[in-house]
Amino acid sequence: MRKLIHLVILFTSGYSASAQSDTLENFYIYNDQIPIDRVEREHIPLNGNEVDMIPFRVDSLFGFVENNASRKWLIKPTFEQVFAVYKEGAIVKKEYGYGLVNSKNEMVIPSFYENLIKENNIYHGLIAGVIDTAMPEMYNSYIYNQYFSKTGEFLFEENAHDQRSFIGDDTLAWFRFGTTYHIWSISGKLMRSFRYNEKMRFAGIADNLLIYFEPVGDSFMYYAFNIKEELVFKLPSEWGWLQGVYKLSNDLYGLIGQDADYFFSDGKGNLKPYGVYSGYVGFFNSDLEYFKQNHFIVKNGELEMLGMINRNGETLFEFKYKYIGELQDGLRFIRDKDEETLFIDQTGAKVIDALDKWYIAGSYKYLLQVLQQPIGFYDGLCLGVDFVKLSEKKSGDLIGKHSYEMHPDSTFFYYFDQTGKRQIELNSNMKFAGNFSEGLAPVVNAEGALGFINKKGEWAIKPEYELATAGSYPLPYLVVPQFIGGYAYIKSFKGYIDKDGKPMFSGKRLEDHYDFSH
Amino acid sequence: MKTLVSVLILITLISACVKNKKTDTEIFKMEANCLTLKEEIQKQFDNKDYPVTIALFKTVEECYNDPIAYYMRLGYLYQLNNQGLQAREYFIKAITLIENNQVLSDNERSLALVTLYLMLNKKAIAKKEIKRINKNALSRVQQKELKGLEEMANIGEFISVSYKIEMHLFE
Repeated sequence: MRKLIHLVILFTSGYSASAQSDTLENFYIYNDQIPIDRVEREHIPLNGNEVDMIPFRVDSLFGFVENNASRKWLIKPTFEQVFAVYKEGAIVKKEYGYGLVNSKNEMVIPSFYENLIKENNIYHGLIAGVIDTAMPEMYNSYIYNQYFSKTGEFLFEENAHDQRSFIGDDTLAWFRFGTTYHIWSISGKLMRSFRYNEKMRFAGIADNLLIYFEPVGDSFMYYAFNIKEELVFKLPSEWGWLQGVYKLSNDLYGLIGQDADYFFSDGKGNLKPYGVYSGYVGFFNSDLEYFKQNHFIVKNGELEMLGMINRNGETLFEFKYKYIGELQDGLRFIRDKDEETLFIDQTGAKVIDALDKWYIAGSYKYLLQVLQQPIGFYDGLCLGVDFVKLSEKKSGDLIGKHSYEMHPDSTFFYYFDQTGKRQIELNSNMKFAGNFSEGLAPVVNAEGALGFINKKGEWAIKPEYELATAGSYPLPYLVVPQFIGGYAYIKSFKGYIDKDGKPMFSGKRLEDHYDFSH
Repeated sequence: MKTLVSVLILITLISACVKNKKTDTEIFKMEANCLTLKEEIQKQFDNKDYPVTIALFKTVEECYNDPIAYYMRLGYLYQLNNQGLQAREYFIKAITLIENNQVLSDNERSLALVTLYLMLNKKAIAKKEIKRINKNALSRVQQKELKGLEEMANIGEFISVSYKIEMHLFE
């Protein structure tokens, strides 16, 4: 028996160390959720009212022309890609990587980053780094970050295995290399440096406060300190995996969970019966800016209905809706428990009552899933999808009180104004329609060609382009062009058109180099 | 000397458990060693010394015929040790294995998934999964299990239930 006890003690001491090193190794695995190698991501459409230079593609290379009718060359085509254009310059890809070029063809930020992103008015360059250490290969990778001002002034650099850069209007960011955390300010000053502490773990930054938590029995206590290390608030919680804790008002707190789940609690940690569930596990990342909103569309888990609250926890819309849309042009599209659909203004007053009951049947999924924009009025017109009804159904009630047999292939798009009157009805052979912007709406004709219609329903830009998709399984999406400041980005042609339909590209695209006819 | 011998025994025990290819004799030895280790793990677990239990439990992966059950329990141990993120990692590993498992019956799969969703505090998904269960085809034990899971799923969608689920490490 004594031998056995001896053995157990050995087990214990030997494996305590092993447990620690196992945890320690986890600190040296770099967080692959950080968009370091997702450089071929979607072009961010420019705003023609804000920029001086417009990308112009000739064959496979991009240059820039003046943002005026002359379209004079500012920079002859030399770039492989244009990722985004801002007032101060454009994020472009040259041979070695991404950098920022201004309208004088000066590389304000050199082009050797695997990714370059504009964050909170500064630029963040990322490179995948490798250190040769004695550790196994999987622990040798890290993220090399450099930050620059808009004028290209170097701010700071940091190596990290995990990090959260400047989120929303936060002026603090954290970086962790191994077990060491660094907190940097957006002006390039190292504000704090500390080691991982198992008893008081670091959770992240929320509203410029440093959030830590410690286990207390079976639950946890979260602490929010300002950068001067003064305690701003503390909050008990049952969960030790929160990504952020926000104080929304005196007695309402917001908790960021994993998988795009968001919870609310009072100051004692009692959870509110409402919140947001993505309905997925290990699929979506939470939006760390979620609690920066002034209102929250949330679901009451007991009533299983949606409502809206403000930062004080006051109910703006009662929990009686099946759907509440985001605000669009001052109005919000809602669907109540009786499947009635209507638009309400910001006070909750009905503006357009009892829409055509068929609006929901034909339009709802299309508008939300295909267009991925809030349902609402764009340039004064709202898009709908209708179909030719044949006869009323007596049974098989699929969509509320009424149901009709529909004519197959009779779906057609229409646009209505805020009085509910239909202004434009498109022919049923049109395959796709999008929302208006700056007086023009994208429409795809029977042959699959993309053009733009005006508010009379006539072709303003003849259909000669194509729609393109982006994203990947399981969430691919359509990239629907829209005019912003006089320019629309046509992804399939890798270039812009202006409102006269004049293309900012010429020559061949990649697919033009191949003959797919055989 | 005694200490050295004990260390050697220890190393033998563990290396037997982590080797991949084994002869029949080695398998026999491993099973015997697994039994010894299980006893120790259970003792540490009963003493609520979770860091040690986790460290020991990580050495017995090969003693488990069922990787799903293994990941569920390892996740559970991490949760007991207040390491929510590590717990989540193993729960998600178990979910992935369950979703791709061709051997489990539909009901077995759903019951295991519901348990894991509740451990992750995902009541909305757990409720959906419960609806898929064919209650007529459940054994008595499964019916009892389902009843407990249903109660937890109905506690209130945004209220925590993670710590109300209990598992036996070995059975």
